[in-house]
Amino acid sequence: MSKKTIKYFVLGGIAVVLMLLCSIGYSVLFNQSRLVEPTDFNTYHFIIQDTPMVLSGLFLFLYVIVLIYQIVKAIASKKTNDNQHTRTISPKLGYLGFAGFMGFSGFLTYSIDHTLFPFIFFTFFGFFGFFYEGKLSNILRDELFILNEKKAELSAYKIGFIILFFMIWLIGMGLFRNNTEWIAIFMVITVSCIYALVLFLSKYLLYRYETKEY
Amino acid sequence: MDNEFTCNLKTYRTLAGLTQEQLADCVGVRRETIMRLEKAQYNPSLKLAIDISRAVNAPIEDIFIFK
Repeated sequence: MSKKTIKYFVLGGIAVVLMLLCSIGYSVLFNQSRLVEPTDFNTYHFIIQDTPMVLSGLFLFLYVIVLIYQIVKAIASKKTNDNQHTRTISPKLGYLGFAGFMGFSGFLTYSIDHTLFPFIFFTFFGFFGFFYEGKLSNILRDELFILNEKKAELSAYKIGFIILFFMIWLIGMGLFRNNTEWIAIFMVITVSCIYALVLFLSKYLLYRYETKEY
Repeated sequence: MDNEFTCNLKTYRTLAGLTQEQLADCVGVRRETIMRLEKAQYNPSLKLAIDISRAVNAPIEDIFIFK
């Protein structure tokens, strides 16, 4: 998206918000807050004084639709343009992997109110892969790189599936004596960790293949 | 699979007076890829093989010899 387009969108957004604020003001002061307070549309009948609120609502809706369309278009075009080179990221982003330790908070929340959700944070361990991805920043994605990338991803998926199979096998064999809650916890932790491992390994193995000395 | 062929790229590249970097730029790959090709550690795609053959002005079957 060009700077000019962004400028137009910002100005358009400000105009739409101002129009909406004016309409709300008009409705509150002169139209008994119609369409500002919660409205039951089953019994709603349009009157001419509702026009500012209807129009500003319509403009807001159109603005959001066009904005979403432009953002999606810009992302798609960026992807197409940058496809030739790897993305530029700092290896320091790898430190985000430490956020994976937040997964241990799941034990605390489970003991308090049986919430399993925080265990999902174990997936953040996968961010350690940014360390290796950062080292391969902004390099040409030629056919050897793409080949290595696919090889690394395939190896990572293979390792992930093998571990997943063993975990399912262990549960199937009666680990946790068919205690459903413990099985649920175990599966959430396992799947999160496997996901993190696959994310990490695909970047790590790619780095290894790319820097391998012959 | 990597060692199923021999590669005479280095010879023809030198004859053409190109450095690895120049050849890489010419065919749109990285220098590392040319380096690995010269060591016959990487089996290139047909397109890359043809591009290289044109860049060093030598027949493709003389550069890449499959056993």
